[in-house]
Amino acid sequence: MSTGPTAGPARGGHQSPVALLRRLPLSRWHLPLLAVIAVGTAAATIAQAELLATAIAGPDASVLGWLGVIVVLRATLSGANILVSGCGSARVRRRLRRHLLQGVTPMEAPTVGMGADCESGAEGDAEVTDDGSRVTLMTRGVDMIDPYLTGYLPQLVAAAVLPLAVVVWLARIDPASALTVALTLPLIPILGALVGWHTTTATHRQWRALDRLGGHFLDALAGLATLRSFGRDRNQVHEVRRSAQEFRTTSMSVLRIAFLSAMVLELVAALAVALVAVPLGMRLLDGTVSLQVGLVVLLLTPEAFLPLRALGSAFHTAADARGATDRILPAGATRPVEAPWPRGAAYTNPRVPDASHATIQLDRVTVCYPQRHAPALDRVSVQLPADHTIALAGASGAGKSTLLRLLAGRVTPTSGRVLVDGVDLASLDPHAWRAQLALVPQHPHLFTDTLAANVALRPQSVPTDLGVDRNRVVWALEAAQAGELVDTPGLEARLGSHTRALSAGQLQRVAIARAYYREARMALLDEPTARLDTATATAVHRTVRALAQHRRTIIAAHSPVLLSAVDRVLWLSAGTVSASACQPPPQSSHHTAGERGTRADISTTARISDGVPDHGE
Amino acid sequence: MPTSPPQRAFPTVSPTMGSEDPPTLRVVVARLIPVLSPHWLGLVRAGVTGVGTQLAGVSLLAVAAWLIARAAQQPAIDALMLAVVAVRGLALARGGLRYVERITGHDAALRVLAELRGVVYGRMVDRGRDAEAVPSHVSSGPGDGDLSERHTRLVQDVDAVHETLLRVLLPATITLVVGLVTVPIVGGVAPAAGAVLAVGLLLSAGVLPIAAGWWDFRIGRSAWRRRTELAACGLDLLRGAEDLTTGDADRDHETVANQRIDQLARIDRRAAWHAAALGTLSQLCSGLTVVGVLVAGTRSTDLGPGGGTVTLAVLALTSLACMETAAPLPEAGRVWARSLPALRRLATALCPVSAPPAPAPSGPFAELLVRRVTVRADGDGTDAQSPPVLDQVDLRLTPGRSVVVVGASGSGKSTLLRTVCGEVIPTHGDVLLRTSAGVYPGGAAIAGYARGLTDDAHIFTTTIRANLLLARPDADWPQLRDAARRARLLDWIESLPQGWETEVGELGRGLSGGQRRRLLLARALLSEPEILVLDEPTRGLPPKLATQLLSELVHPAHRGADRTVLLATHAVAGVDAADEVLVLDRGQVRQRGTPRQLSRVPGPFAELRSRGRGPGSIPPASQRTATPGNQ
Repeated sequence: MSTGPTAGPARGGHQSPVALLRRLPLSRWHLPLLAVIAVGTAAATIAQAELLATAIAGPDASVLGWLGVIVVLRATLSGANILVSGCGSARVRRRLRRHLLQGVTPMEAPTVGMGADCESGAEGDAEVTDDGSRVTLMTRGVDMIDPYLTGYLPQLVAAAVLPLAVVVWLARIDPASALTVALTLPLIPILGALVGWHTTTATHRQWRALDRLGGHFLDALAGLATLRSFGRDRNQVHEVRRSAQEFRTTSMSVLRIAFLSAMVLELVAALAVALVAVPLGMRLLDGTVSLQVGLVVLLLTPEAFLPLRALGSAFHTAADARGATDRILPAGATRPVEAPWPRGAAYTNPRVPDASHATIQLDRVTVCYPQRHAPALDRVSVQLPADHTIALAGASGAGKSTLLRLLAGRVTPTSGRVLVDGVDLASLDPHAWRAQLALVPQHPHLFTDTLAANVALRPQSVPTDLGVDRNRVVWALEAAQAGELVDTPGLEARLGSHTRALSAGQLQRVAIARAYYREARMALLDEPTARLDTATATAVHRTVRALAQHRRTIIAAHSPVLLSAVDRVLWLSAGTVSASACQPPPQSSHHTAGERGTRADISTTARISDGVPDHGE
Repeated sequence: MPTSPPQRAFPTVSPTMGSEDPPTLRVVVARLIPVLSPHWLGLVRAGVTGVGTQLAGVSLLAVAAWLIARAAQQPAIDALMLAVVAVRGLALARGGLRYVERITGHDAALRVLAELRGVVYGRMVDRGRDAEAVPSHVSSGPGDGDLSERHTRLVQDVDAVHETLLRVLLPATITLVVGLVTVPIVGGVAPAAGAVLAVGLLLSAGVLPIAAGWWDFRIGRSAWRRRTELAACGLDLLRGAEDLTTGDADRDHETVANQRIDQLARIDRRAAWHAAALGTLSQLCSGLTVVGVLVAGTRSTDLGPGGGTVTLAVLALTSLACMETAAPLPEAGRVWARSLPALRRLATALCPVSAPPAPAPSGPFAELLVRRVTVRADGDGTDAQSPPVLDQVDLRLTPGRSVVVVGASGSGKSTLLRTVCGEVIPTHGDVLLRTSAGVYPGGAAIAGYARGLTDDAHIFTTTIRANLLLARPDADWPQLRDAARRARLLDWIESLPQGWETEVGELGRGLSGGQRRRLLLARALLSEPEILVLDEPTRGLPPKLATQLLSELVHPAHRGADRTVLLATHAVAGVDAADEVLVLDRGQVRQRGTPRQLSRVPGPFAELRSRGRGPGSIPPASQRTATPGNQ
């Protein structure tokens, strides 16, 4: 079920450019349409050559009219070719983007970076670039398929049709020339393959060198500040020049091979034309062939070679497209592309319990993340009564966040069950369940939208009759003690992860305002004050306490202030519940609790159950 | 509701934005000419061979047409021999010339590229810190997308020159010359045919490329806007997935992203229509020109009935070949439209710098003073009311002293360090450096005295050894090994299969956060500046190691009694040996004194200290406080 962010293995590295077709969501009609156009173009090309020859050989004004018609037809067909390819490409790219989009909204978040006790500065960066690269894949990565669909594919179809048509037509009017063309045509792909096969190994190494040298300039730019601080920036100018020169020499040695192979193909084509033309001239001299036929042969022979040569020069687009496809397809959805979300019917239990009153029980729940060895939660059995504000405490990595995600249905248990009023959470429609919740993550995200939309979590441009209720937004912000934001920056101010319009504390309060706006029956807060300084944290504490007074609230927290504000504290340690208390235990106790290791029976209040009552099934 | 948001909401790369005042085409050319001029010979050579290639192609078809038409008149074979040889020769010449043209063209363009990279880099160096416009990015840290995006864009802009030369300048010149040669010849034979050909060439090499460029520019702009919006949506969905765990919020956001995708597809389809129209027109143009030449040729009274066929064949096929020369020009128009904004930006980057370098300080370091320094993040007007990043901070460093700045994330400690290094210009107050030779104002000039590990330090895509040696190119092995040992990196480096010569992956991605940090620390230690400035040297390390390392960096016995150290950290364990501790909170100094004094009085330091003994110390000091949605 996981659609991890890791791109799948680079499968199909040696697929032919044609095999790529089967993996792209092309319309069924795309290829047949291209084929029809190619046949039409071939016919028009032959007709044009015939008419042109007639017009020259026997000056005749009536033929010129027909020639004009054929020219228009041929131009229209060429336009149609571009149009069909372009629209097909637009369609494929649209579907691939949708496919990727569903990959970015997975049911569970596999990278839950609660990485042990290490500070995650650089790990965070790695994640950011990963998000960034997924988004880039959705925008520019998908566009890399375009040259293949608009350049290579139509040429491929033309290459399959036009040479054959020309040979057939020549055979009709001048069999000798037809034979020569038929014999020399296969030389192009054969020689092309030979040259290509010979050069790929040689150039592959050089491409890697080119990659490195090409990146050097960017590297030097990015490191300019560092170089300056060490007083080495002047020396680097020379270095940049040197590496650019090296880039040139390496590039040229690659290009020389590429152009040489292009020249070989071109010379073969020229040779073929010469092989056709010289005997033709002789036969013209004898008078065995008419000028009309001679001109047609002269005009048509190069046309037979053209698409094959063009195919060779567009070959790299196929390689690019294949590379992009290899990254896109595994990164996308595991859900079927056109079914955005599994709906209620898929879930066996239509009655969704009220989250504010339901008793939630964890029954030997274990959660393992794919990339981690130790389970995040290890056979946890615990009961969360509805009438308590509960805090989850423990060191980072103890499983607090995972427990919250579990309750929100964002993570499914690897084994065990989460029972809501005795009903397995997995059997409920996740949307109906989530509609009652608000999850405030540890690092709330600021959406690229207005402040109002950020509170309502409803994008401004969404076509729904439930617009953003502005009064409610104001009320929610005030309830979350972030009322000052109504004036500055204002409800219509556009925010975004790039702008720094909100401070960290304001961001937390906006995230809590979301819970008010949605009138969530159960609020799940993940370390709301972990990254705040003392004064800001105090303000957020007030907000959290106010929230907890009116609805069921479960908070993952470090802060002693927060822990003192709740009815009940659940201590987690290495994925197990180590203690539970009505009052927060004295400072020392959570240390020792961790060492005791197991669950439940040490609790001061006996709500933690060893066996779960059996009304689950 | 408006669907197209104001530009400001997307501070990513825009094809049109740049400086406030984009340079005119004349300025662009004037600034690029000095770069191009050393390589004019190569470019001319490429142009000449290109013209040769095309003329060989045109003549090939003309001679072949003459040969066949003449042969049909069944003259003596001798009359044709020259033409037969010419056809073969021209066929070979075209292939050979084409090869030479491509080689010389690419070589010249790559030479220009190399020159340009050097010049641009030189200008960036000349411009010094202004090039990075630091004040607006005071509190944005290593993840600062803007700067790295600007660098990537600059690289692309430089590449655009290469592209423009090869795909616009050369083909356009070649077509022009070929047209100028062919049209008079055709016109000499039949003036009307010459006129038709001239009009055809003008349309297909002049009007169509302009139309293509214009369309491409317009469509490209809206496609770019939609793509940026889609990227924002996608990022929202990725990073905000947890926030959306409520009701239909996720579905709503997915709907919006899907709308963006559909809009993008609509634009793609529109682009396809335009390309199709252009393709049709281009074909039509060349086809109808040939028809027109034939019409003009047949009507021409100069051609006798016998010579008429031969001349007509030559005229028709010459113009056909000539029109084919112009076929790639609409694409050139597109490339031009795409490169022009890049060239404008490049011209801005090439703007000469006339700032005289500040006098470089000399002599041994005596004192560094930070007096009542206030720094405001004035980058984007939104921060006008926000509190300053640093608020009236004083600091004094003298030789042999170690000062530790403690504070949570966003408390301003990185900014304080960067101010000392001269990377951040204070809004109020000043930084003064006193050496035995005199007193110097803070700024770029004091970088030679105060440097070390800053948050945005870069790890180069090269070997570990080269990354370290950069700080001190003349360092010998013992010094190198000693720096690595002190940074707790030596064992790791020597355990690697390739040891010191291990290539560090791009942007240090092959390293873990802790290794990256320690590599930077080793580099800072190796450089041995007068004032060693270390920003969070122990971030990403296990707490025990961090404490140990921190105390070594601070303790006079380990750092060397004459070494001056300014160190910022979020954890206080291990700083006992420091001469002074500053506790920063939201830009203000809350407490200062020796660790011993501070731990006796109740206050933030003592609080941190007692907390530091517990499992979790003070919260992470990441720079990205305002954009914490990265998990």
